[in-house]
Amino acid sequence: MRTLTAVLLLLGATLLQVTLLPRIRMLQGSVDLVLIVLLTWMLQEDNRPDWRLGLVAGLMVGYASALPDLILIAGYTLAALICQLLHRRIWQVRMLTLLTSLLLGTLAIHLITLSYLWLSDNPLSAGDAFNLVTLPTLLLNLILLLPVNALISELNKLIAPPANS
Amino acid sequence: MRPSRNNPYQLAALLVAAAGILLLALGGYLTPLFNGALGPVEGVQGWLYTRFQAIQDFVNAPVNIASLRQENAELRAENAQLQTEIIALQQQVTEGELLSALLDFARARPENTYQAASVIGQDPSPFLHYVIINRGSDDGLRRGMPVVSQQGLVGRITQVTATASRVELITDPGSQVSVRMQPSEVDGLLSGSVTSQLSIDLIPLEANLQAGDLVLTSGIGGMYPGNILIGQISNVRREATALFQTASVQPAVDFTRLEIVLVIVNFQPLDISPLLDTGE
Repeated sequence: MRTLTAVLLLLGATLLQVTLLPRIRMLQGSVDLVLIVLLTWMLQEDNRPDWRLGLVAGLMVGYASALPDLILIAGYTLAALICQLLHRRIWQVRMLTLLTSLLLGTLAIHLITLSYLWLSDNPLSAGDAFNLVTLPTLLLNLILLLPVNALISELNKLIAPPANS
Repeated sequence: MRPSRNNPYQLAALLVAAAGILLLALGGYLTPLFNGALGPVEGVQGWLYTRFQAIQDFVNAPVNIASLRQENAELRAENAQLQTEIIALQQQVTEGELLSALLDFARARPENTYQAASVIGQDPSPFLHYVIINRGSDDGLRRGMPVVSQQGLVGRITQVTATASRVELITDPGSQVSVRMQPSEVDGLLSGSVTSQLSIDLIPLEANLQAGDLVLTSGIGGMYPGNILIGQISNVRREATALFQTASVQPAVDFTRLEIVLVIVNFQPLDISPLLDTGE
């Protein structure tokens, strides 16, 4: 049930990511709702972080993106792995883990994407990419993190109540 | 004392008296008398009427409030429906204007065959500038077909499914278009960037370009048909040590507001890569 809920949430986030959210831009950066939903869901109470959810997220975004599926699968799986590694290992406070995972996850996805684009002879400036895309995306992700976290927490309680309740 | 019916004098006296009273009343001479007599009656009548009306209002009020609330709810629902219709009609007007402009564009180029498509999504990666349109191979679309709007060149199709296609915009960092500037008739190579800015490279140093010059597709390379408007030159950069000039271009198409586009379906892009093979 929890896995199904997670997949449905990721599907909804992907649809929003493709249709509405690209219109919300800061410089050239845009919100990565799929990543936010993925990490927020993985760090909910009673949820055990599972890197395979990153694989599902990468597949969904890869289907909608012109980037090769493997690149996005690698990016989102790495972000999920980072989240899994940080979970109750570095900090006990969930919000700190979430913030750190989001920061490192965004950087990981962008780094993998940029590496692919450079290798495929796309003339991208590293400075422009970082200043105009990655930093604004990070900021937008952080802004959207709190409301999405609140929403996912409520959904988690509503749709998939804890097993011991 | 009852007057006899047979007494004509009494009858005549009564008639004269009645006529006299009537004339006095018509003349207004009896008004003070009537006012004095009717005043108390009217007062009583008014008092009774207002009390009766208050009782009637008290008895009927709940029914009226209920019916008023129902009527209010109905009017609100009707208002909401009308607002929805207004929005839908405004959208139809906007879409109609857009389609009209696209039709004008298509009529201006009768040699091409077009397939209209709606933009239904954008690439989720902020590094890429692609859009997704709602027409695919079922509608005759193929990879490489150019996509235009009423304002000018949008890009080309890079991937096709049965019902949808992915379009690489000319602003994408990986996009390159052979262009020709007018009126100078100089060729160059237009490239996109991650910031959506368009720039032209490989412009010969001797070319005399001015801000405001038009930029059109040249057709060289076989990827796009010729003479499709791309934009205007906004500034030209010439460095003494460089082999070529570069120029920035202000695109004619507003890529942030793409809604409906036209795919040129009778254009077959040429694959000249075998000719470029050096055979090493």
